[in-house]
Amino acid sequence: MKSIEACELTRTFNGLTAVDRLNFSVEQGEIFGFLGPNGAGKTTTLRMLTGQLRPTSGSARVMGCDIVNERERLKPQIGVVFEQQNLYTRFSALDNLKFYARLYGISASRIDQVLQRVGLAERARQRTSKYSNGMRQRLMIARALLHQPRVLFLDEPTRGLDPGVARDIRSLIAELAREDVTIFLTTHYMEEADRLCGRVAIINKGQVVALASPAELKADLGREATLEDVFLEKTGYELYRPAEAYGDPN
Amino acid sequence: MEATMNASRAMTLRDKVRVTLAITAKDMLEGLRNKNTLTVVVTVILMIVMYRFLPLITGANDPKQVFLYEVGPSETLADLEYSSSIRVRNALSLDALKRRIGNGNEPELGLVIPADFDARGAADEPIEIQGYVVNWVSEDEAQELVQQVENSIYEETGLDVRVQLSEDRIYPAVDNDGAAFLASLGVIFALCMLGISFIPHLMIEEKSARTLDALMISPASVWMVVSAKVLTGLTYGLVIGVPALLICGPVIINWSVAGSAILSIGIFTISVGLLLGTLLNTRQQLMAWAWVAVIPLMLPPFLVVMQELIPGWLAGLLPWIPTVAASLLIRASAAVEIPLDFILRNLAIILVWSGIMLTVTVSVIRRRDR
Repeated sequence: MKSIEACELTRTFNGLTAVDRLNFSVEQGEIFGFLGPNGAGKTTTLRMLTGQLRPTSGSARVMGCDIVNERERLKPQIGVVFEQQNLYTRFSALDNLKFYARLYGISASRIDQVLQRVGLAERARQRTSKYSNGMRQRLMIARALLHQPRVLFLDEPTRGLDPGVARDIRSLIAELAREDVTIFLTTHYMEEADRLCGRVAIINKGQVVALASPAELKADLGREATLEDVFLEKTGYELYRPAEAYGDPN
Repeated sequence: MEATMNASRAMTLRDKVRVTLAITAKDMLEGLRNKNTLTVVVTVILMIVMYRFLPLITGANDPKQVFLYEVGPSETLADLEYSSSIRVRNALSLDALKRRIGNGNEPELGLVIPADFDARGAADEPIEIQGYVVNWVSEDEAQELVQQVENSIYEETGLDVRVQLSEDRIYPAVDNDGAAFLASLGVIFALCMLGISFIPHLMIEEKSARTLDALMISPASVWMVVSAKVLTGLTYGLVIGVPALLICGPVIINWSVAGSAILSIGIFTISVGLLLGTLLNTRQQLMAWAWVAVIPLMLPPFLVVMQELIPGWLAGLLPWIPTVAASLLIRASAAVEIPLDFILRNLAIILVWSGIMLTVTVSVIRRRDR
């Protein structure tokens, strides 16, 4: 079953095309990586798929719901971890989650479950303004999981985190996929995408320039190619220093 | 799964109320933990208290005002104009005297001087004159005023006059511009301060912290978010409104009219604040624009009582301004009889403007996805 289907999805801002006729689909329980350089249209696509932004043309369905006309039906089925942390910093983690639990009409016992799951149960009563970056990010994930969404959108969830927290979050993402939750992941970390994603789409200037499994993409480029090599090749990025300077064997 | 269950049904009215109240509770709790909110609320309450009590302190020793309606002209009482403890004004008729008393913003005494006043004085006969005070003056204040006026008359004329207070108190007219007018300005000022200095932060903070994005992907709709913020504003308005109502307390006799006016102008000032908060992005922008917004809100109720000084076209526009409509209603609530069409017209003006402001606010938030 397809969780996400985008058909000619397009978005322009003042005549500038940010997302250009995207076509892709994501299967239920799949971890789908959405990669691209800064300004390629990743966040714009994510915002459209989550109903935050209307497409200029084209359409998309998430869990069978049209992203424009069936937003109210769509909302309970998706969870979003935003690129920028957006918590109520005067509240504790518990109060933040209690608030969202009330919005979704969820019992308080679910709050304990998600706090345990992201490892914040011990410090749930602390104000989030006192939290570290990693703790806030874990709380963002807890919030997104609170209502047990079928599709989870993660916008650069490990950006700026220390390796330990980042690994915890990756493990959680893999665990969720095993529970049949569809993951739509944007990231700049190619290794992360390589390890986690069943398939990745690379977009550049609003268009999909590659879509396959990381293994297939690497194989297409040649022996011992990394996903980063694929990314650089597909996005046409020209290194202004030779690869050897970084100790790149290629 | 809960999500699947939730997805399978549309939101009921109960769900919508639950979501709206959840946001209201969150906003109120945030407000309590926000020092800026508490500062605004305490400042406005202090301003109201000062507004109420400062005139009493500064005007404590001012001469009391007495209006005389002389049925027959009295030469004896002409000496009263030299009194330092009372200030005498003349009314041309009993109706005019009652109107002047009803328009007072402090306790004033109206006296009806009988045609044979001078003759009785010359004959050393006891002189009893009819006195009137406005309805909101307490019995003690009225007796104190009478005593003071009797003493002043004795000091200036040597006549032993007894003022007999009429049991029929004078009630202000619907269009009075006395104590009820000042009370209306106090209430409107307090609610405008709330609307402009506190309410916008409810939206600005949601936008700057990007929590509005999280709300918009939750079951909350834009209307629920806006309604919740109106409810939060009204709750804080209650905190500010209670002292404001204490100011009006003695003046108002039609509480249903005053209450409706205060509630509706509260909704209006909150809707203005929400629109400001939706259009502006930072506290700095708000500080600059708040003063621009406060002028068209606060100035018109003043202009209404000086219509002869302003151009006709402006005078024609004034009744359509919500703060003027609210001021007219609060002023009228001091009167005994208020025409129903007057009440409905002014309430409609305030509520229609509030509806327009809230609709514009919702459409501006919705345009974020365009």
